[in-house]
Amino acid sequence: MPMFVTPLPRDTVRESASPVLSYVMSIPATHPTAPSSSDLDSQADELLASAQPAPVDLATETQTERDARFEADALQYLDQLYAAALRMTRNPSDAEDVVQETYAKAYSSFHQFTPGTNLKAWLYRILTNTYINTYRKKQRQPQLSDGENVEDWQIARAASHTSSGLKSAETVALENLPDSDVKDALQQLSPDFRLAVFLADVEGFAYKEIAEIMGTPIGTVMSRLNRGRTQLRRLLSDYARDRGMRVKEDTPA
Amino acid sequence: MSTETSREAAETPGRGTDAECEHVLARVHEFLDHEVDTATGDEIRAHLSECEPCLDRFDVEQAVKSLVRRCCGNDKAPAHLRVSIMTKIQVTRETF
Repeated sequence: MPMFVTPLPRDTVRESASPVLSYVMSIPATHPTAPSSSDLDSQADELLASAQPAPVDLATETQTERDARFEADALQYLDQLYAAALRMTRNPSDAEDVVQETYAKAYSSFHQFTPGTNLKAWLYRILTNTYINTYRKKQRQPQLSDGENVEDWQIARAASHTSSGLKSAETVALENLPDSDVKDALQQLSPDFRLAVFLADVEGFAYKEIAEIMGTPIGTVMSRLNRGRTQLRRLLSDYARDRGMRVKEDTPA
Repeated sequence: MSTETSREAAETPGRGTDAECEHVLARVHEFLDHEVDTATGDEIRAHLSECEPCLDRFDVEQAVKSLVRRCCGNDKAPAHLRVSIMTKIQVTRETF
């Protein structure tokens, strides 16, 4: 169930546009996972008609039926929750514990989950709470602070000019980084920034959903994303430079 | 960055004003995350079509976003984890 839908070109994109231009310009304004409520209604109807032969009636559902539903619906997110837990805890053993505890809690309160609502977001909320309440306290690895990196790319905006219509040196360098560098860089962010970035970029959750999962206002989500990504980009540029790739200086020295 | 590059940037015709750039760059993540309304999206696209420095910024932010997606979500849960989850659920079930 891919959450991330490749955006369709919505507007008129000029034929002469450069490759860089055409992709960014093709990004639709509204979030693909946040359609209008009437769209949602019709989508939900379709889903109910195709995926679920009969709507779940919580009042008459037997324990066995509920267990089967839990196994079929909740367990399908195991890999995704594990990947998220791995990003949160930064080690496989703790990640397994967090995921196992998450599923135990989810099973115990599955009768409170409203069928047809967002099960994945519900599970992520439990995962996040489990991690915050149990595991974050005992983690004492050095991390970047949540400090003052407020949108410094605004200052740097004129620095990365290219006149060719091609990708900038920085973009090319970042795209050539090995996966391990990207994972390392993400691990260095503070937990809140890391989780916000993971939920937005890997899972494609809308801001509203991330706010619910993390229990914060949307403004906080946006600030965590801005600052987390700014730190991430700086780290990735450093890695690229260390690997001898050409990265245009992005801040006026 | 070289002085040549900065001069080029300053002299590029058709480049948006600083205020416009600031307005657009403040929304780079919202735009890339599909969180702006249609009118704002159109406004940003119009600006990007004639402001290459801003387009480069959007481009690099999109690259970071794509990198995270490509590199950080592919971990598979170990097989024994599924087994231990099911076992734990089974135990919970029997204690009801």
